[in-house]
Amino acid sequence: MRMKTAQADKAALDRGTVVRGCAVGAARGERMQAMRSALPALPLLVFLSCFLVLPLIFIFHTAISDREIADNLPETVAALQDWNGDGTPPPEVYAIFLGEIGKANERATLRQLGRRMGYQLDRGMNLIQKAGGVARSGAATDAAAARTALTDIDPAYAAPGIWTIVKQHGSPYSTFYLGWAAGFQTKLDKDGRPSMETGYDFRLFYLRTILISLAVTALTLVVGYPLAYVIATSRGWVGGLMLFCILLPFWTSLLVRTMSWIVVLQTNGVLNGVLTGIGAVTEPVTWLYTRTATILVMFQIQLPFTVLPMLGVMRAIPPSHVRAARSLGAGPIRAHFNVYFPQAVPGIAAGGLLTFVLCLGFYLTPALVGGASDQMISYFIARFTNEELNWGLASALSTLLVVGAGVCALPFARLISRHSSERK
Amino acid sequence: MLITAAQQPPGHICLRGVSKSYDGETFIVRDLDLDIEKGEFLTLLGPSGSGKTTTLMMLAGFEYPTSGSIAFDGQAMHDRPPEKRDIGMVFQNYALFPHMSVAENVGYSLRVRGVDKAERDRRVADALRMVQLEQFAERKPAAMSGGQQQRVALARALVFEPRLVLMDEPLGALDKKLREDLQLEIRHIADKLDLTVVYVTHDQSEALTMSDRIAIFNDGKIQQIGTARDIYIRPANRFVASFVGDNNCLCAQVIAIDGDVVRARLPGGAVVSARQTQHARIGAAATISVRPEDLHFCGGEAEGVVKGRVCDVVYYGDQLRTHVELSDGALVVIKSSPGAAHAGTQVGAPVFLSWNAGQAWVLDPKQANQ
Repeated sequence: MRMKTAQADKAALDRGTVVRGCAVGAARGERMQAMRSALPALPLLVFLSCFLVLPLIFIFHTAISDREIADNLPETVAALQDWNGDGTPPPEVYAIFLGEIGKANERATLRQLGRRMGYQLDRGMNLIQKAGGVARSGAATDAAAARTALTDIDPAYAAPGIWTIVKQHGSPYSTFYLGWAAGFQTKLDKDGRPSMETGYDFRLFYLRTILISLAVTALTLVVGYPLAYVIATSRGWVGGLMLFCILLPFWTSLLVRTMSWIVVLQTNGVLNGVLTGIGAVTEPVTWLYTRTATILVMFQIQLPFTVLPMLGVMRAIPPSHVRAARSLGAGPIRAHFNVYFPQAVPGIAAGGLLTFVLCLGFYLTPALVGGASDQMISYFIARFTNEELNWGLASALSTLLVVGAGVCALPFARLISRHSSERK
Repeated sequence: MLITAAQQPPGHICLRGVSKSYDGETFIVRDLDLDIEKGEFLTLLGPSGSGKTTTLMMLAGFEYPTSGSIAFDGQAMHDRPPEKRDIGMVFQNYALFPHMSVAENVGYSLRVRGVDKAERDRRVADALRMVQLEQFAERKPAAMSGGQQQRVALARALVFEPRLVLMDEPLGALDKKLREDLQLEIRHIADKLDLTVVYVTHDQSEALTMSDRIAIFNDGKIQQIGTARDIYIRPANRFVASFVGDNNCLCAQVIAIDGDVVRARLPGGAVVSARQTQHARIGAAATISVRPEDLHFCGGEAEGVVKGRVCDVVYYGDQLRTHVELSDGALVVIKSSPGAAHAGTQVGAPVFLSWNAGQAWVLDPKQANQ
């Protein structure tokens, strides 16, 4: 602490602006100094906050935003507060609801509301559009008429389902999309019971994503560890050549590489040509659009990401350590696993973690070479963003992915930092 | 251990005709013969690239000789892997395993040999006590100073009672004071345990203070092997003379051999004397070697006195070094105590130098053994 103050004093003295002995001034001087020394990183900080932090905040916000009911039916929500959820709400609620549907119709936000209801209620969109029709016709003049008109046009309005949903989602923020993304049953039928309609099974997609990522990570580790070891310990051109071969794919675009795998793996492709040529198979094997193809191509893409962190750590392990173990009586394999491997663990963890986390987000490769029914979670995020325009769900899926990857990474990151502090 | 009908005493290590080359053309070690006796402290001393470390690595088993044999107690050893040689080794940068505690490091050789836990703990404790580190058993090496780490490395190399201990510049990374303390400590432990030690260094004072015998390496060959005293006082050739200690080498022509005193004429005309060696032949060129501390100033021209001119005087605290250019252009250095006569002579002043014939040696005019 004293040293810190001394440094701050010195900084203050250097600038000649702060009176010596003034602790507050010195502390400020130190802060200024620290800020000034961080100045060269400013463009990066600006870039990161604009293109990483802000989008992340936007995605988290979208994932918990649930505005349609709150914006379009505020009075209905308020009127439903006294309703206990049994049977149907009082007729006044129908009148207020119909009035607000009419306003939404004028604001042209009825479709949004209908879509939101449809996420959670069987035929939700249809119900809202029918209510829109009733509101436009202007037939219902009092509460009883409103109720009759609505229940006549669709019996679902005489059931508690729709009213339960409106009552529960009156707040502009909810965990609805997150719950949906996490695979909880969220869709109701007209009576407010869990719907028989089966939607997407996101838990299965996450599980599939994790399994594929684990398989690719394991494969890159098993192949990458000996490779990194050979490169790290070889002298002369062998290691350089191998490193070059590993880095080569870095200079080719991901799309081109994936497309060339299609050429290799297709039914009349290179691989089947070779296999039938040497007589290993008689019929061409289906490689493309299988999980094998996904894992194989992802493995090829990810190998350098696993090998390079391992290589960095392995190069720092002095060869004398294994020699010392040998001179102390351990055979080459035992010396390797007692002495070399434990010191390489931070690199293995870093490489494996990097590959695993990157694999979780793979989109292009499984989309191009994987099976249509075997897609990873990113495919669904893209699908909900671009095709179904359900940004809330897409954001919730992304949020779970980011948080999940972070939770996976944390213990590994701690392991890595602990190991690196152990080493001098 | 049973030794049957060995011609050599037990513990003897013998290198015969050992050569090492990576490309088949340039040899790092050439046709090396070396005998190491049980309980001996042998230092391999030489400049970098002289083959001393390669020789050590061949003893340890990390390098295999291109030709020649290495035998321990008459058993061929040169094709055995290091773990089957029973050799303790202390590495230049300690090579302690960073993920193991001090006790685990020291006990590693015993664990590998399947020594049971109680016995292992006892021997580790003994070894750590020997290097005065018994209270550090549970520490990680990174939490210790360089000197402490070196002691751990020493304990680790000795705990399994190897028949040979190799040390590869073990004190190179330590500061001077600590290095001197550890030199004495290593020497003391080696004596106490009657260890056979082969010690590699490029530091001549370390070699001189620690060793029973020193082998001077250059160009892949042993230039001279002998006790510190032998090597300092009777260097075998110009390389050894200039590598070990400071030395003045003067070119001369032998004009007479009178018993064991050789008389030779320097290019400047002065006739000087030196002790006879096998290199002196009448009429032939010879190199006369005189240590700077054996040269002294004298009053004026006389027989055996060389004339020169002071070109530099350097003050070292406990001594003064006067650089003198002789009349034939050769440069010599004279070490004298600061209070001695003629000390502090002005640069440029003429001086006269002489030495006792018994303290100068006639060397082979060739640089070194090739």
